[in-house]
Amino acid sequence: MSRNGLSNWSLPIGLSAAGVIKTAVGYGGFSGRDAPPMFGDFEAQRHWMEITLHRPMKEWYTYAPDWWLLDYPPLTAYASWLCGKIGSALNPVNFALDTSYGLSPPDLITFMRFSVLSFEACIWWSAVMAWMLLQGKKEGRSWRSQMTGIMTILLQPSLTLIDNGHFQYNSVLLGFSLWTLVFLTHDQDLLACVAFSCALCFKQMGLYYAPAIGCYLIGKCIWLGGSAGLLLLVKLGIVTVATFGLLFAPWLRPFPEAILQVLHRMFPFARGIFEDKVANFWCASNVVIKWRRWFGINGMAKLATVATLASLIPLVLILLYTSFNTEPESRSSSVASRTVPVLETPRQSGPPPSIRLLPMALFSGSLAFFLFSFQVHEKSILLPLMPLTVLMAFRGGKEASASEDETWEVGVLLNNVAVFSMWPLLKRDGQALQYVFVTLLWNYVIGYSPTGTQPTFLRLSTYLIYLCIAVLHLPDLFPTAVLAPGRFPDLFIVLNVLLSFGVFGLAWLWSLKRMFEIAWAIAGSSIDPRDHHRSTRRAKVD
Amino acid sequence: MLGLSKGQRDLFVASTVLKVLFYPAYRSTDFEVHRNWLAITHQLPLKQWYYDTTSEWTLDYPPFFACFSYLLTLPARLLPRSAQDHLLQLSPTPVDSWLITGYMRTTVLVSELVLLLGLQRGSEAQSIISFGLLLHPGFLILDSIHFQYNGFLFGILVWSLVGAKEGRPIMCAGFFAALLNFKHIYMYLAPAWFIYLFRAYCYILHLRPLAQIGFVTVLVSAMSLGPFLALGQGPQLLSRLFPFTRGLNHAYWAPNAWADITLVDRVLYQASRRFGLDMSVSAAGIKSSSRGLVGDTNFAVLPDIKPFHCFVITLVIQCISLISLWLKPTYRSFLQSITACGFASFMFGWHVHEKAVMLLLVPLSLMSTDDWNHYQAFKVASVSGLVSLFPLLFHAAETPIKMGYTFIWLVIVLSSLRQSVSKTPPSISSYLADNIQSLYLYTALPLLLFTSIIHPYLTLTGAVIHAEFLPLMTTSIWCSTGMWIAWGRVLVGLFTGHSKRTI
Repeated sequence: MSRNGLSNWSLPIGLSAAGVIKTAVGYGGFSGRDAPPMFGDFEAQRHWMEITLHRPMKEWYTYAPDWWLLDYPPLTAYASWLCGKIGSALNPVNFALDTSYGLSPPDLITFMRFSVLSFEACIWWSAVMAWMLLQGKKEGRSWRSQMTGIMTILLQPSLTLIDNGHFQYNSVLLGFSLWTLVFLTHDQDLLACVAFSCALCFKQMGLYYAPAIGCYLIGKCIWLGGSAGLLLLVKLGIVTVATFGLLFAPWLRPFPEAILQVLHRMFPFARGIFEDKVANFWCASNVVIKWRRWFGINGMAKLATVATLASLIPLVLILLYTSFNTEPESRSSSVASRTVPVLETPRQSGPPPSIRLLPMALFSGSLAFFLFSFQVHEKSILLPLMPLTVLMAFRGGKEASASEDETWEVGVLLNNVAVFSMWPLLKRDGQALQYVFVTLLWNYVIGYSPTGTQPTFLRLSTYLIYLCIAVLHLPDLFPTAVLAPGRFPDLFIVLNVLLSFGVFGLAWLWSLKRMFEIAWAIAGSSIDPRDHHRSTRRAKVD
Repeated sequence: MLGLSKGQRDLFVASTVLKVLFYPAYRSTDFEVHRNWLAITHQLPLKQWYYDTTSEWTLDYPPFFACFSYLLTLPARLLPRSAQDHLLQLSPTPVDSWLITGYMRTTVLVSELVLLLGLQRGSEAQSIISFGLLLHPGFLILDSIHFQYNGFLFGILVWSLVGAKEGRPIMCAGFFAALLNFKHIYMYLAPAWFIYLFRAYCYILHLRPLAQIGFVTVLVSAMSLGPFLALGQGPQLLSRLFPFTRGLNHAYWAPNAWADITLVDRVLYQASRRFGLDMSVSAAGIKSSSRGLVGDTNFAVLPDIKPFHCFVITLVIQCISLISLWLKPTYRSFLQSITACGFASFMFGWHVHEKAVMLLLVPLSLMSTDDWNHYQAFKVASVSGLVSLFPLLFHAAETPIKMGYTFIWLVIVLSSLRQSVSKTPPSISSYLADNIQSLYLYTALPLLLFTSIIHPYLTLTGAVIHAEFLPLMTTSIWCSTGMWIAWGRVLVGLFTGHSKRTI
């Protein structure tokens, strides 16, 4: 594609192609299409536009409690209001108060699809481009590899199918989160705080990223040390509180009640530990251990919280210890080191070495939440996928190494398994065709070929997993020939959960291993020049 | 794979995936037309094919297409029994379901292989041209969304051209005769074939090639028409294939000379009303003009046009290009006259549909690397022709698709072609022509902005009422301007001798 005169055009071409493909995915079905009485996510989003448009802010979280109550933080509500304003100007019938429930005429579908695409382009695409282009410039990556990276992220099948197919606005959350990463990488911590607060105020699921980002920032304060560190900590606190305060302002008074009600809407512990079938620890182990019978809902909530916190311990320790163990004075040696691309900045106050851990930490932390926390949707897998896919886009740079190839392969595998884990949902939505072809297209575009040269262990297990996935699709291909046994009507869905959970669980362990390796490399390169000899020897042993 | 470069292969895969993703998208009544033909050919014996009127979408393509429809019913037997019955039922009302859509769309996708193979055989040296044709947004809009089999039909045309290029007159004649028996709209191009084959191979009375070419043409036509003529259905067939009950313009004016003349008529009429000019005004014309665009077009002020006029004008103009072909019966000259014939019939034909623009875009693109002039002609004709197809997809949901895909295609194809054409040293006239053309092409942006955003918005807010025809008319007039420019360039190319090919 990037031949001669064409390379100037490759970015507009790539973005147009992504837009065209995502629009085409939108021709398929969506969540809750023609499915009364409650319909689905599409209706929920439409209904929120309707109530935010017609009711005062005070009632946004309480109006019409027997229909889809708003259960996302205020930024979603504001976005809904904006969409409602525009959509209502186009056709007020579609957003008429109380009378528009369950509507889905073609013009409304088109409008809603375009609203997703517009938000996505503004926040998610811009973040992806900022990330790839800034990073590419810094590392002197080829234009082609930058373009491949951008397309890898933009055409990611799970996000495309869920946002442009199933119908949600996850890309906004992911966009704000990626902006956070971009700002942190470029030492703009305060802007990062604003971006991340926006992410949290758009969807509370952003909390999955909080441990990694929080530990990184605290780690940075430790790394700076003394008054500089303390000053940063105070600034970060003020900016975060201010952003939250601004976004939550309408619900601050009467003080505790209003905001508590909003919070209660966002974290409804009464709903149960998982919805439908999710490929996480609780749902998978539920096959043999009936957790709910043993502990009850409340006990489960506590158990899940403890398990989540426990699973986060390694991440917290590695991030904090790395920050503690490296010091600003030793930066000179790490700047000189060619193996630390992220640190190649002439500015005196660059980010600490632990920035190299951050994308992997985001992946690991959010995956831990997905596997062990309370009340998880199958769609939540999008959160771990984002940092992993962003890491995948690093492949083929000047600093290409074996570990990057490994990350890339794991990324492909996990993306494919993740989209498979959402198959029951997508099938229900009428996105089967899109499921097959968007996934195939992505694998083609990123240049994945299952016939690699070296049959590594990873590759062999990948074959095995794909084989299992193929077998589990047999009942979909031959609905009359392959049937689940009568005693277990959900057999194939449960097997889907077990397989996906196995892959996600192993990926989580792998992420811990990778974090440990990166931390080790950072420790090795930031040791005092006098000890340099010893550190290289140690790296070799490693 | 398929002689495509890596980047082109990527786009081929991407566009194929895209076409599959379009399965659930909007489709026009042509979808039901073609489905109904499957039902007719499956349910009824041959002798009733051209008589069935269960559905209003009667069979009105020549017999080969009916046989093609019959062939398409065969793989349908693999479908589940219920879906198969559903697909192949004769019904006065449209029949549709997810499986039927999937099946019909897949037949379009698979039938495009004819085009792919033809292009591969024909022009391996110019893969960008093959690639540009294969992924042409015209085919995407007309076949994959609107629903027709143009890719397949133009594939047969390309096979015929392959015969001409390789010096095999029998192949050339045979494929073209077959094409005419698939869809008779290609008769517009037939004079070029006739003159070329006669002048290049039979003149003066080389009996052997004459007999061979004549025999294959008659044989193919006999295979197609024979059974129906034998059944005495000739007049019925004729009345189905040539329904002369339609008006000068299609509901939406194709961007040709008649669109411009209709506009002039409307303007003159309004002027005569406003300023009280003394003109003889026809009542039918006033009615026609107040109806906007739908139905027959009668002129209010200008004299009415009859099919006979169109026929004579088209033929006379085609003759100009045929003279040039007669004087120099080469393959290149042949392509030029096909293009010129396509232009003549598109600009002056009776009841031309905007889809007919492919008749000239396809041969023109085969010449697009010949020289600077043809490259420029291809550029302006492609942009105007494609923009003129946009109104076929009139829902907002398809707007990003048609524009985005066309943009991608134009950028890739034009910038690749640009590299294989060297710019001729500019003369004053070519300098002027290039600049006027560029200026014209830039006005596409305000046009698209107006037709797809500003006008719909004004209509919604009620600022503009009873002006549904305005965007269509603007599009039509704008595109016809581009067509005039392109046609002018093609004529210039026809008469200014042949510059060296620069590849």
